Amino acid sequence: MNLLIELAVTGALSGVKVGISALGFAIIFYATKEMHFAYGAISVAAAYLCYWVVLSVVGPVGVILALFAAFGFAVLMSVAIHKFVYLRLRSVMPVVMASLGISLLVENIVQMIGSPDTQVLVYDNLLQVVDFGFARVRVLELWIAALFLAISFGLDFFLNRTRIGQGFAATIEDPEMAELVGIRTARMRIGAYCAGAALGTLSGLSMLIDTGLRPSQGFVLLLYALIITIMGRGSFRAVAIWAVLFGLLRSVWSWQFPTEFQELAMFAVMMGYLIGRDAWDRYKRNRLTPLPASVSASSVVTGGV
Amino acid sequence: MLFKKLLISSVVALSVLGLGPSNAADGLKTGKVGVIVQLSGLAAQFGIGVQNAVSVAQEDLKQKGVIDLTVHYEDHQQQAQLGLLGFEKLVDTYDVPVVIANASPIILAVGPAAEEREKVLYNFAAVSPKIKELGPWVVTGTPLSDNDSLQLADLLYNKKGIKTVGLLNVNDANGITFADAFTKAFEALGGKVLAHETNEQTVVDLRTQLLKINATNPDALVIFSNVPENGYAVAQAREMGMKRPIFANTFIADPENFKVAGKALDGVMGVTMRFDPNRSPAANSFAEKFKAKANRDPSVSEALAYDAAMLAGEAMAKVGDDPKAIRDYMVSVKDWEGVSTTFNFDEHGILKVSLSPFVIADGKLTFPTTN
Repeated sequence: MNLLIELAVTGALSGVKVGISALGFAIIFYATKEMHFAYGAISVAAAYLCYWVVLSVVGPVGVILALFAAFGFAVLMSVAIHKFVYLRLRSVMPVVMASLGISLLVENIVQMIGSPDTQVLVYDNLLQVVDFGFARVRVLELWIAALFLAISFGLDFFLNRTRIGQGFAATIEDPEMAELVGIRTARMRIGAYCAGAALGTLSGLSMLIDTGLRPSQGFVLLLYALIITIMGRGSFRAVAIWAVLFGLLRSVWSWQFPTEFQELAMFAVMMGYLIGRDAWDRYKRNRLTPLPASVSASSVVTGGV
Repeated sequence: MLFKKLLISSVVALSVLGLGPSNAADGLKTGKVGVIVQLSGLAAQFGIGVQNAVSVAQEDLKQKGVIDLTVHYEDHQQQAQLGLLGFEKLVDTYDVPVVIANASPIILAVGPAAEEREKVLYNFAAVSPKIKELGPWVVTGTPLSDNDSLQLADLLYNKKGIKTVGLLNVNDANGITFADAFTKAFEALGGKVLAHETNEQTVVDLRTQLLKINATNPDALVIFSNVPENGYAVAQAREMGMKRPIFANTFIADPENFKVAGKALDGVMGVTMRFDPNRSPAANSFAEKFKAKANRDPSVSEALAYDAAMLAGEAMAKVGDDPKAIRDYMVSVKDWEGVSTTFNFDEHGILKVSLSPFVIADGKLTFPTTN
């Protein structure tokens, strides 16, 4: 039983780490319908930029400068790609191809400027281990979990309780209608890129301190974010829940079954969910609506007298 | 007159094309080798390190007046198909007599092609025991995993008195061959593998596997994962409060692991080919030049890559660019002093080398006893 609890805690925390980048990717994808595959590479590049600035400028000023540089780079780069590349292509496949190309380009530039080796920012305070008895967790992981919860609830509040958030939700739901009622959807999309890039950078920075970063890890970051965004089916709540479930189920699977099949099991569960959910939606759309009790069967057949 | 012009033109053309073993303008012999390593993708750090090591060898060969070696690189990205394509390109386009490569899937895929094309394939880092079956065109300048695992099993069971282990290996050809060879050797001695877990390449969160291993309460943890995953495994095992001894193979000593795991690596034991920069002035010089290029210390694999290029260069300088003559020269060297070790090859063309037990202390490999 102790093992199960440990696996559950470990899994949930690994899901939370994926969750921040997944929410960032989902914000961009749901608002713009653009497959921004350069997301992972830009997030990693931003974290690298932070690393280089921290090494160059020592002390707290260096850290503040590094954070500005990282977030500024990711936001500006993402918005520029959206405005000057994706919007000009105006079609799904060219956008996919362009984003893949940019992703490779960014990854290779980072590798050329830096190196393919792992880079780690060591902050001993964040790497200390807290022993809860049933599990041992890094302080950094507790911070990431708190951040994830704050982002998830904050996003939910923003979308449902603020005017701009409702405009953003309308842009996601029906962009043409939103445009007709006066919502500036183009601005909403740029806002989505800014928010998404910021969350991606946050994820990249947490990796830089937690496990270290390599230029090629942008792909892994993107892959998990993409999978969970697909599972979310347009809902940010679902993205947040699936991120935690993704880590939790993957880890708990290993309690009784071989670890090497955990990815397979997770994908089977996810595929099952997507297929089942789709079938249920189709069933709901196609089932006959019961007639009101006041309408008799004979009147329906005869057309009423 | 026309005949004279044709004769002069032919001589000029032949000298420009550089047919046959050739000499540079300064009298230095010239030669060319191909190198297929992972230069991009998820494991690019290995290939870039090798590129630095080979580039130091190029400079040293030229500086010592041995040969002016041209090196053509191809990127295999850890994929057998790309390795094979790279090999074909090196042979067809550049006509290299020797190709230096790493990684078991690549060597196993390219080996048959090397035999068919009658070119030397020099393996400096792949460890699959199946490499023995590839025939005479594959020369292996690294100990294979059966040898490595056999000596590690002996260290655990006979010298450390460890009877049960939990095993973690990367789920690729490299990790599987190490784990299989170790399990066979350890169980033959009377030991027992209580838990056997695997991790996928590039996955850095290994706590699920470690928790499962911990739950079986083995005497020790044995890790055969890639760099830097094995570093993460040790760091995470320590974070989880695992007190039992940890053993690993050669790859744990990679500088990349010290970066990701830091002091957590202290106490890790194993057997390895020993790259000691102080073993000779050449080794020291290599370590310094490598550090100047890569901004870090070289690993054993990088020292072996340097030796591969040096041996290939020397062979070409001595016997020309006939692949068979190069191969025969390489495998017949006796006590050839490399920077990594002293080179002698067995009847399969595999480096004969004794491994040294190591313990990591204060962020460095230490060798309490040597073979």
